[in-house]
Amino acid sequence: MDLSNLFVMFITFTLINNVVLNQFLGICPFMGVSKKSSSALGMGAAVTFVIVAASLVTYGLYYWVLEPADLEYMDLITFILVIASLVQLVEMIIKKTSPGLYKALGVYLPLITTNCVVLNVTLNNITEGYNFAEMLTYSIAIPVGFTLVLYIFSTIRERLELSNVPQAFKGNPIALIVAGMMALAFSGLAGLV
Amino acid sequence: MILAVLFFVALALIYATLYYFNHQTPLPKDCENIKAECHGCHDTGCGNHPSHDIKKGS
Repeated sequence: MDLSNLFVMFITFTLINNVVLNQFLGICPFMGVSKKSSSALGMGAAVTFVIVAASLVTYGLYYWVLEPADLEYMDLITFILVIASLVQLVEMIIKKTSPGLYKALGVYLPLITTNCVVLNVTLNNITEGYNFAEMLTYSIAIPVGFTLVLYIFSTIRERLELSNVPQAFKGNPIALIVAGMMALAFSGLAGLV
Repeated sequence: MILAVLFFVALALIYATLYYFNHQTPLPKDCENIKAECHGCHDTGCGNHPSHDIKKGS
Protein backbone atom coordinates (compact mmCIF):
# COMPACT_ATOMS: atom_id res chain seq x y z
CA MET A 1 0.00 0.00 0.00
CA ASP A 2 1.83 3.09 -1.27
CA LEU A 3 0.41 6.21 0.34
CA SER A 4 1.76 8.51 -2.36
CA ASN A 5 -0.09 6.48 -5.01
CA LEU A 6 -3.28 6.70 -2.98
CA PHE A 7 -2.84 10.45 -2.63
CA VAL A 8 -2.32 10.84 -6.38
CA MET A 9 -5.40 8.68 -6.94
CA PHE A 10 -7.41 10.92 -4.61
CA ILE A 11 -6.36 14.11 -6.41
CA THR A 12 -6.96 12.50 -9.80
CA PHE A 13 -10.54 11.44 -9.11
CA THR A 14 -11.46 14.55 -7.15
CA LEU A 15 -10.21 17.17 -9.60
CA ILE A 16 -8.85 15.78 -12.86
CA ASN A 17 -11.22 12.90 -13.64
CA ASN A 18 -14.07 14.64 -11.88
CA VAL A 19 -17.22 12.51 -12.01
CA VAL A 20 -19.49 15.39 -13.11
CA LEU A 21 -17.32 17.60 -15.29
CA ASN A 22 -15.12 14.95 -16.89
CA GLN A 23 -17.12 11.71 -16.79
CA PHE A 24 -20.52 13.47 -17.18
CA LEU A 25 -22.26 11.40 -14.53
CA GLY A 26 -24.62 12.68 -11.84
CA ILE A 27 -25.86 15.51 -14.08
CA CYS A 28 -29.41 15.19 -12.76
CA PRO A 29 -28.64 16.15 -9.13
CA PHE A 30 -25.97 18.53 -10.42
CA MET A 31 -28.65 20.55 -12.23
CA GLY A 32 -31.54 19.86 -9.86
CA VAL A 33 -30.06 20.38 -6.39
CA SER A 34 -27.70 23.27 -7.06
CA LYS A 35 -29.94 26.31 -6.74
CA LYS A 36 -28.95 26.83 -3.12
CA SER A 37 -25.53 26.15 -1.63
CA SER A 38 -27.05 24.72 1.58
CA SER A 39 -28.96 22.07 -0.34
CA ALA A 40 -25.87 21.36 -2.47
CA LEU A 41 -23.83 20.63 0.65
CA GLY A 42 -26.61 18.45 2.05
CA MET A 43 -26.82 16.46 -1.16
CA GLY A 44 -23.03 16.13 -1.31
CA ALA A 45 -22.83 14.85 2.25
CA ALA A 46 -25.59 12.32 1.63
CA VAL A 47 -23.97 11.10 -1.61
CA THR A 48 -20.60 10.74 0.11
CA PHE A 49 -22.06 8.66 2.90
CA VAL A 50 -24.06 6.39 0.59
CA ILE A 51 -21.21 5.84 -1.89
CA VAL A 52 -18.70 4.87 0.80
CA ALA A 53 -21.17 2.52 2.50
CA ALA A 54 -22.35 1.01 -0.80
CA SER A 55 -18.76 0.50 -1.97
CA LEU A 56 -17.83 -1.38 1.18
CA VAL A 57 -20.89 -3.64 1.01
CA THR A 58 -20.75 -4.35 -2.73
CA TYR A 59 -16.97 -4.92 -2.70
CA GLY A 60 -17.32 -7.51 0.04
CA LEU A 61 -20.38 -9.06 -1.58
CA TYR A 62 -18.61 -9.46 -4.93
CA TYR A 63 -15.40 -11.05 -3.66
CA TRP A 64 -16.95 -13.14 -0.86
CA VAL A 65 -20.24 -14.24 -2.44
CA LEU A 66 -20.52 -13.66 -6.19
CA GLU A 67 -17.02 -14.68 -7.24
CA PRO A 68 -16.84 -17.94 -5.17
CA ALA A 69 -20.31 -18.91 -6.43
CA ASP A 70 -19.43 -18.11 -10.09
CA LEU A 71 -22.16 -15.46 -10.20
CA GLU A 72 -20.02 -12.56 -11.43
CA TYR A 73 -22.56 -11.79 -14.18
CA MET A 74 -25.07 -10.91 -11.44
CA ASP A 75 -22.99 -7.92 -10.33
CA LEU A 76 -25.15 -5.23 -11.97
CA ILE A 77 -28.52 -6.34 -10.60
CA THR A 78 -26.96 -7.23 -7.25
CA PHE A 79 -25.37 -3.83 -6.84
CA ILE A 80 -28.58 -2.03 -7.82
CA LEU A 81 -30.57 -3.94 -5.20
CA VAL A 82 -27.86 -3.50 -2.57
CA ILE A 83 -27.70 0.26 -3.14
CA ALA A 84 -31.49 0.59 -2.98
CA SER A 85 -31.63 -1.53 0.19
CA LEU A 86 -28.80 0.41 1.78
CA VAL A 87 -30.54 3.73 1.14
CA GLN A 88 -33.72 2.39 2.78
CA LEU A 89 -31.71 1.14 5.77
CA VAL A 90 -29.77 4.38 6.15
CA GLU A 91 -32.96 6.44 5.96
CA MET A 92 -34.59 4.26 8.62
CA ILE A 93 -31.59 4.55 10.94
CA ILE A 94 -31.34 8.31 10.52
CA LYS A 95 -35.07 8.74 11.17
CA LYS A 96 -34.72 6.84 14.44
CA THR A 97 -31.39 8.11 15.72
CA SER A 98 -30.93 11.63 14.44
CA PRO A 99 -33.93 13.81 13.56
CA GLY A 100 -31.63 16.78 12.96
CA LEU A 101 -29.62 14.88 10.40
CA TYR A 102 -32.83 13.62 8.77
CA LYS A 103 -34.13 17.15 8.50
CA ALA A 104 -30.84 18.23 6.87
CA LEU A 105 -30.33 15.48 4.32
CA GLY A 106 -32.98 12.81 4.70
CA VAL A 107 -35.05 14.19 1.86
CA TYR A 108 -32.14 13.62 -0.55
CA LEU A 109 -31.64 9.95 0.27
CA PRO A 110 -34.33 8.57 -2.07
CA LEU A 111 -32.89 10.76 -4.84
CA ILE A 112 -29.53 9.06 -4.40
CA THR A 113 -30.96 5.62 -5.14
CA THR A 114 -31.23 6.56 -8.80
CA ASN A 115 -27.99 8.52 -8.90
CA CYS A 116 -25.77 6.88 -11.50
CA VAL A 117 -22.61 8.01 -9.69
CA VAL A 118 -23.22 5.46 -6.93
CA LEU A 119 -23.60 2.54 -9.33
CA ASN A 120 -20.61 3.75 -11.37
CA VAL A 121 -18.35 3.76 -8.31
CA THR A 122 -19.42 0.30 -7.14
CA LEU A 123 -18.96 -1.21 -10.61
CA ASN A 124 -15.61 0.49 -11.21
CA ASN A 125 -14.28 -0.85 -7.92
CA ILE A 126 -14.60 -4.30 -9.48
CA THR A 127 -13.75 -3.67 -13.14
CA GLU A 128 -10.60 -1.70 -12.28
CA GLY A 129 -9.45 -4.46 -9.93
CA TYR A 130 -8.80 -2.16 -6.98
CA ASN A 131 -7.50 -3.56 -3.71
CA PHE A 132 -9.23 -2.50 -0.48
CA ALA A 133 -7.20 0.67 0.07
CA GLU A 134 -7.62 1.78 -3.53
CA MET A 135 -11.35 1.03 -3.38
CA LEU A 136 -11.71 3.14 -0.26
CA THR A 137 -9.70 6.01 -1.76
CA TYR A 138 -11.68 5.92 -5.01
CA SER A 139 -14.98 5.72 -3.11
CA ILE A 140 -14.10 8.80 -1.07
CA ALA A 141 -12.49 10.82 -3.88
CA ILE A 142 -15.43 10.59 -6.29
CA PRO A 143 -18.11 11.98 -3.93
CA VAL A 144 -15.71 14.61 -2.58
CA GLY A 145 -15.19 15.80 -6.17
CA PHE A 146 -18.95 15.64 -6.74
CA THR A 147 -19.64 17.73 -3.64
CA LEU A 148 -16.94 20.26 -4.51
CA VAL A 149 -18.27 20.83 -8.02
CA LEU A 150 -21.88 20.88 -6.84
CA TYR A 151 -21.07 23.50 -4.20
CA ILE A 152 -19.11 25.71 -6.61
CA PHE A 153 -21.92 25.47 -9.16
CA SER A 154 -24.55 26.34 -6.56
CA THR A 155 -22.66 29.48 -5.48
CA ILE A 156 -22.44 30.59 -9.11
CA ARG A 157 -26.15 29.92 -9.65
CA GLU A 158 -27.03 31.93 -6.54
CA ARG A 159 -25.17 34.90 -8.03
CA LEU A 160 -26.79 34.36 -11.44
CA GLU A 161 -30.23 34.70 -9.81
CA LEU A 162 -29.32 38.30 -8.95
CA SER A 163 -27.63 39.06 -12.27
CA ASN A 164 -29.09 40.67 -15.36
CA VAL A 165 -29.35 37.54 -17.53
CA PRO A 166 -31.25 37.82 -20.86
CA GLN A 167 -34.73 36.28 -20.60
CA ALA A 168 -33.98 33.51 -23.11
CA PHE A 169 -31.00 32.34 -21.05
CA LYS A 170 -32.57 32.47 -17.58
CA GLY A 171 -32.63 29.24 -15.58
CA ASN A 172 -31.28 26.08 -17.18
CA PRO A 173 -29.71 27.56 -20.36
CA ILE A 174 -27.28 29.79 -18.48
CA ALA A 175 -26.68 27.03 -15.95
CA LEU A 176 -25.62 24.63 -18.73
CA ILE A 177 -23.32 27.26 -20.21
CA VAL A 178 -21.73 27.75 -16.79
CA ALA A 179 -21.36 23.98 -16.39
CA GLY A 180 -19.57 23.82 -19.75
CA MET A 181 -17.19 26.58 -18.69
CA MET A 182 -16.50 24.76 -15.43
CA ALA A 183 -15.73 21.59 -17.39
CA LEU A 184 -13.26 23.54 -19.53
CA ALA A 185 -11.67 25.03 -16.43
CA PHE A 186 -11.29 21.64 -14.77
CA SER A 187 -9.82 20.13 -17.93
CA GLY A 188 -6.92 22.54 -17.42
CA LEU A 189 -5.92 20.51 -14.37
CA ALA A 190 -5.07 17.53 -16.58
CA GLY A 191 -1.31 18.02 -16.29
CA LEU A 192 -1.37 18.31 -12.49
CA VAL A 193 -0.35 14.69 -11.82
CA MET B 1 -28.97 -20.80 -12.82
CA ILE B 2 -31.17 -21.77 -9.87
CA LEU B 3 -28.61 -20.29 -7.51
CA ALA B 4 -28.72 -17.00 -9.43
CA VAL B 5 -32.52 -16.88 -9.26
CA LEU B 6 -32.51 -17.71 -5.54
CA PHE B 7 -29.86 -15.06 -4.93
CA PHE B 8 -31.91 -12.46 -6.83
CA VAL B 9 -35.08 -13.40 -4.93
CA ALA B 10 -33.22 -13.15 -1.62
CA LEU B 11 -31.93 -9.66 -2.47
CA ALA B 12 -35.38 -8.56 -3.65
CA LEU B 13 -36.92 -9.83 -0.41
CA ILE B 14 -34.33 -7.96 1.64
CA TYR B 15 -35.10 -4.77 -0.30
CA ALA B 16 -38.87 -5.25 0.07
CA THR B 17 -38.50 -5.85 3.82
CA LEU B 18 -36.35 -2.79 4.35
CA TYR B 19 -38.72 -0.69 2.21
CA TYR B 20 -41.67 -1.84 4.30
CA PHE B 21 -39.95 -1.16 7.62
CA ASN B 22 -38.70 2.21 6.41
CA HIS B 23 -42.20 3.32 5.52
CA GLN B 24 -43.53 2.01 8.83
CA THR B 25 -40.95 4.12 10.68
CA PRO B 26 -42.60 7.40 11.73
CA LEU B 27 -41.06 10.66 10.56
CA PRO B 28 -39.28 12.66 13.27
CA LYS B 29 -41.04 15.66 14.75
CA ASP B 30 -41.06 18.77 12.46
CA CYS B 31 -40.02 16.66 9.47
CA GLU B 32 -43.50 15.88 8.15
CA ASN B 33 -43.50 18.45 5.36
CA ILE B 34 -39.89 18.76 4.28
CA LYS B 35 -39.23 18.69 0.56
CA ALA B 36 -36.12 18.87 -1.57
CA GLU B 37 -35.46 22.32 -3.04
CA CYS B 38 -37.35 22.11 -6.29
CA HIS B 39 -38.77 24.78 -8.53
CA GLY B 40 -40.24 22.26 -10.97
CA CYS B 41 -38.79 20.86 -14.15
CA HIS B 42 -40.61 19.04 -16.96
CA ASP B 43 -40.70 15.74 -15.05
CA THR B 44 -44.11 16.01 -13.37
CA GLY B 45 -43.91 12.35 -12.42
CA CYS B 46 -41.27 13.17 -9.78
CA GLY B 47 -42.58 13.21 -6.21
CA ASN B 48 -40.83 16.50 -5.46
CA HIS B 49 -42.49 18.43 -8.30
CA PRO B 50 -44.40 21.47 -6.94
CA SER B 51 -47.54 20.45 -8.86
CA HIS B 52 -48.05 17.68 -6.28
CA ASP B 53 -48.45 20.31 -3.58
CA ILE B 54 -51.67 21.60 -5.13
CA LYS B 55 -54.54 20.42 -2.96
CA LYS B 56 -57.80 19.16 -4.40
CA GLY B 57 -60.51 21.78 -4.64
CA SER B 58 -58.16 24.72 -4.12
